[in-house]
Amino acid sequence: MKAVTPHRFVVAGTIAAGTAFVFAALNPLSWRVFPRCVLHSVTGWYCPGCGTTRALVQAAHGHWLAALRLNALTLVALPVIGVLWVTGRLDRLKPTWIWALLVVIVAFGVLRNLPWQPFTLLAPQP
Amino acid sequence: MYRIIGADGREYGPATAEELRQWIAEGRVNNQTRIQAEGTTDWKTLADYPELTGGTPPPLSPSPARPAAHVPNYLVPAIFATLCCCLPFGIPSIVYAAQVNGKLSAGDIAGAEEASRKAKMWFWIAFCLGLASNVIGGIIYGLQAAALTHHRWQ
Repeated sequence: MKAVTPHRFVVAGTIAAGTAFVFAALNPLSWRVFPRCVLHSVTGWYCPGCGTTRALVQAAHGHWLAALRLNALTLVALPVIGVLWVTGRLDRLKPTWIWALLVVIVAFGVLRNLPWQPFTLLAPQP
Repeated sequence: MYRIIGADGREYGPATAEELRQWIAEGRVNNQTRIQAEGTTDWKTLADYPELTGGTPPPLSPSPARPAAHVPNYLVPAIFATLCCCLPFGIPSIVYAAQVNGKLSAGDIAGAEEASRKAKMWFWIAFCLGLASNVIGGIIYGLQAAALTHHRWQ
């Protein structure tokens, strides 16, 4: 059962529009205000979320291919999860789907660190 | 689409006729439940919606419908924590989110609430550790950059 959640439309819409506006207008790639990933600094590994900020910046500028090459997972998953959350389906999602999501996130994190083609395509491209 | 007032006094919906029939079968909606069809302003009872009962009024339930269970699964914060470089502690949060939904659909409300608490706890652990490591990392990076600049000036 889902409770009435009209505020989710407002929250999701504000976040999406705000992110798109700021990233399109300010080009934070040249700013260096965003925190550097500590995991990457220490270990040199790419975590599953690595490249998300840069991908969103590229997407906000309409560079979809560049965005996909920075982080294909979050670029595809964020809108899907957003829609599922707003419509309340996330609250009743079958556990199988949540397990599948977890496997995809972990697998993506492992595969993008492998040093061979084609897995290197999953790593954030500079 | 319909909205209902649950036995807990909260409003639920909009739900499809299919979902409402499910709730009737589960005892969450009965003859006393107030139901509003989308596009109308009147709160009515099941007797006024023959399309939900297949024409035959449902048997009179002896007790009011039990409160509709709404246990937050914290899946969105869990995914956020996992993807924002707090990976090791975000994963248990997602695992407990899956358990919330699994136990809810099995009718185990107490178990779902317990899993919900753990999902929330692991999210906050992941979030705070991620925040702390980024702040510390940022300070170290800033100090290095400052030292480097200072060195160049020498």
